[in-house]
Amino acid sequence: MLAPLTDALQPQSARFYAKTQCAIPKLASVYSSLDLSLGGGLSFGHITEWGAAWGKGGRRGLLPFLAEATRRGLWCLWASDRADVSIYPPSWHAHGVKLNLLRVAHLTASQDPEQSPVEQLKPIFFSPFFKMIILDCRIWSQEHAFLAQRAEREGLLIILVRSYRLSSYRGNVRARYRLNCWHDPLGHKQHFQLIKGWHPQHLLLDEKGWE
Amino acid sequence: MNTLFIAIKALKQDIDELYALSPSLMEWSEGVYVIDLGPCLSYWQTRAERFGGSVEDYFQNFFQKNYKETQVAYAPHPWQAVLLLSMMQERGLVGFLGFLNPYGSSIKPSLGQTLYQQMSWQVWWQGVFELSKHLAKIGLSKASHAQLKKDQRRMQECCQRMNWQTPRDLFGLPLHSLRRRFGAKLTQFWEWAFPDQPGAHLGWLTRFDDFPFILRPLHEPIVYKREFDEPIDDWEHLEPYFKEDLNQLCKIPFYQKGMLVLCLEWRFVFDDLSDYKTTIPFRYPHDLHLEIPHHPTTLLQAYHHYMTLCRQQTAKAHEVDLPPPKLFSWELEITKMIPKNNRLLELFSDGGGVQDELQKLENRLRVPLKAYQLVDDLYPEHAFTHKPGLDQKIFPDDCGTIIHHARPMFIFHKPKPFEAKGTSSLRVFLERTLDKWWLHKEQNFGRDYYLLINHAGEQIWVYQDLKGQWFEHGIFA
Repeated sequence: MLAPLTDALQPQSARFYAKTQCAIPKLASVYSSLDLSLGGGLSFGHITEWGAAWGKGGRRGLLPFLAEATRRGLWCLWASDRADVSIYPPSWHAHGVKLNLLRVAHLTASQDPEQSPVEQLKPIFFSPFFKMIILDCRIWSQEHAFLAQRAEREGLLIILVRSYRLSSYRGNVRARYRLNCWHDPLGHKQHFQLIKGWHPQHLLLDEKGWE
Repeated sequence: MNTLFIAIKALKQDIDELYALSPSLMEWSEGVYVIDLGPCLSYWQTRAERFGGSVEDYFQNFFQKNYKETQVAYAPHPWQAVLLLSMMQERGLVGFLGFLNPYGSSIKPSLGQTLYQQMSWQVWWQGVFELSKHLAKIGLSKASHAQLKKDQRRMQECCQRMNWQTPRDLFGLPLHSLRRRFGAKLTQFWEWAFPDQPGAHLGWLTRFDDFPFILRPLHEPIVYKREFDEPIDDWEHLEPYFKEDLNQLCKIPFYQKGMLVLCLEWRFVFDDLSDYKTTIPFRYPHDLHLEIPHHPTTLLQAYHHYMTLCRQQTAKAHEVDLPPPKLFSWELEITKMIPKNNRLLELFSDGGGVQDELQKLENRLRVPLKAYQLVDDLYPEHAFTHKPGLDQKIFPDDCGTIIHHARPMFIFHKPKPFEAKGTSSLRVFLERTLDKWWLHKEQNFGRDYYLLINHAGEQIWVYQDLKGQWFEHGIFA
């Protein structure tokens, strides 16, 4: 439910946000060949769908972007609705993520089916404070339009992490970009399959260069 | 550790300023006050981080600058704080002394801790006298009081006979023997004072329940009551009234501008005469005056709480096949607040508004946002925290932690037993960790960590302890 309280979410201190509203159209990773294929990196102001089946190492592909965002001094938010696990910050830190600019929301959506994750985080989307928002949780279909609108208006980079492999045939029309990512622990390779928004291709990145 | 107590010898006119530290303040004796920092500790921790130091350093600077000739003691338990303050008075020491845990912040004990260990019997008995007075106030029976007096005499005689020079000399005696000889109450006092006694459980940190912490209220109750002409239940109808009532609260003389609210209590009466109350806590102290007339922050929190209550009411009514009850009246009360102390807030002002903006945003959210920090501990599950204890050593964010590179992005809250038989043999050895053998009676729980691919093709982080048992500890998601 997204109806009431919109008047309560008025834009805040213009002076403060003028400082943080620096124009950053793309967020690069530390990996140049990946950035080249992504046309410079992930775009702010749009929704990106990130297909990463649970347990296949796909979320790891987000760490270089998070590392770069925090290195630039941008605040990042990771929202997750998994009840049995929490993030392991030392590993994130070892991959370059500055923990002082990262906040994590553990959503209770899985316990309370009436509460949507977006509803619980609503004030976040009305503020440009968190420039990079990663929603690793279930999103209701009617909320995609809301997220796309807020991303565009506030210049946010919103990444919807899907716990399944995305296909190029059908999907969320509000997502400007779509890709699949997974990790091959034996070959020590990180796979990126670009589906929508870029030239479709399969990138195979060596772990040594990656890290 | 989630709280800290400060005992201070202060003049009556300074009391209002002390409430700026926390609304939980107790008058211990004439001119001596105890402050429980618990309700505001996370707020002070955040401010201390901005200052670039610990809460301990933050308050030390504050008291040194503003209360130069005052005696201030801090400790994890109120009883320890007042005893240490008495020791400072006995030795004629002024300043800010104390300790964060019974073992001290480092291997080398602090001055406060050394002083505390030398506590005299005179200080002890004076403290026991005050403590028993407070216990009597909260209902200690006459018989128990008489028994306590009797136990005191027995302990005093025993100390003379055994030539125990200080209360610390009892250290090492089994607690059950102390209890048998000197009664349960005196033993409890002794346990509060010296929780590092061998055999004592580490749960000492939360043993405040029986301590007679009698709150000294800062203000008269700040309440606004509303009765509706007709019962209502929709948020859309209720919202303007709620805003109006918040504005009315702001007009009550006790609630002046600059007072920061920690907690609001919202009590409802429904048309079936059932009553409910809900607490609206703010994660960071919030000034209602700053959001007159729309109160967006309070309104968002109230909305979440009201919707939860509505869901409960609807479910209950559904069970007995009745329509959900409607609101008849409500009361809104400010239950916890602190006065804004500019000397305290501006002393270490960093001039930046980023943290303030974040705190405002967090106050509006239904879910808390966790900020993680690394801890100086190589044991996987202890290597980070989202609620740093006051005595925990936090790694700076730019410090290298190469060991964590091969660890997964997600960890289970508790390692889960893992049936290794019949699973894939596809596993890669990652690291060996040693157990904290000094904390357990059982020995040898070293772990060998592997990356293993299970039947579902998931890359999991498992370990085998030295007994050969397998556990699933994390996932390479």
